[in-house]
Amino acid sequence: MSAEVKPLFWGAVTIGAYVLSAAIHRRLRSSWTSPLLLTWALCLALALIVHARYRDYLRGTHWLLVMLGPAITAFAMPIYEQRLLIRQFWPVLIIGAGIGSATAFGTSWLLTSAFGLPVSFRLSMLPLSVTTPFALEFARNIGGAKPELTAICVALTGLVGSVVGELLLNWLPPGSAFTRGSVLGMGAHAVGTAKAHQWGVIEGSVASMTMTVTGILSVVIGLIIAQCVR
Amino acid sequence: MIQTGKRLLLSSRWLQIGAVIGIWRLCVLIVHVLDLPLPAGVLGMLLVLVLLLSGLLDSKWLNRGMNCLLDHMVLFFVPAMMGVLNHRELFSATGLKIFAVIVINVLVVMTATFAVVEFLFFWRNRNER
Repeated sequence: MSAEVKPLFWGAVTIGAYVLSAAIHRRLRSSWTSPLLLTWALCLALALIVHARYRDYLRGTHWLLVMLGPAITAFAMPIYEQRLLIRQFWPVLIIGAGIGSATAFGTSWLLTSAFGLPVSFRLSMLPLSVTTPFALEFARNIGGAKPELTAICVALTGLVGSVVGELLLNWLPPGSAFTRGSVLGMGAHAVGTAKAHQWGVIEGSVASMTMTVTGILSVVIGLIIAQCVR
Repeated sequence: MIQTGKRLLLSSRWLQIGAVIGIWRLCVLIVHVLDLPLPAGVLGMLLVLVLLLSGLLDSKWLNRGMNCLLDHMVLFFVPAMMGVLNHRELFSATGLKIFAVIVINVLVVMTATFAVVEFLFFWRNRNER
């Protein structure tokens, strides 16, 4: 393949895999056929078969990654549509995100220590439950962390969280739409929020608010930790 | 002429997506110039939210485009997740440990959040009535 064709190729493959995955998901409706998981698996399988380098893959799909910025901006709409609910329950939202964040940072540190992972890994994996842009901001501020490791682990958390989250919510006693949105936004940040958006407008707006509050909290926590260490 | 343009913007999700990208680009610039510790996407979200709440902007100008972006958001995560291609060590014992941490962490965080939010939500709901 020539150097000019490759980028176009991976962009087309990713979108094609997504369209196919979405069609499969519409037929089967299982949390294991989540479009993200399927699209990723298909692209990864192909990339491993043809021995593609990440650099080449990214050159063709970078514009998709960039679209995450405008997509986050788009969450203004469900939040606006649910403004009355959020005005009424904002303390619940903030306390939920606060306790969720404290649990996430604490559990991550305890587990990575218990598994004997190196300090750079422990620091990189602190913001697991924080959406990528904020998590990267945290990793850059704190010092000693590896931002690209943070990016991968955060993405994996989103994926695991949106699949496990659905199973967990089916197993736990049925919660309110508000709670379901909060759980997905807290545990699986943007991927969970995308899933919550598919469930309903209340779930989606609560998840995006939870994700945003968690992100802002994490940057503040990161700046405080960096100050204390210095 | 203006009427046609207005109708076009109201009916086309592509034009509205273009507008959202424009708002986001503006926020990238603002974040860069003011050196804010905030992702541009979030600044854009706050900006649009303020415009909508203050009544300066009607939601019909952006809702088709924004909902379309949200419906297909998972597609935008795929390139970041393909980063595992650069980290073959993740397909080893370390990777297994990392995966275990991620799964347990998700379960603990989600269960804790469920308990706290469900309790607070109903408590507040009862006190309001």
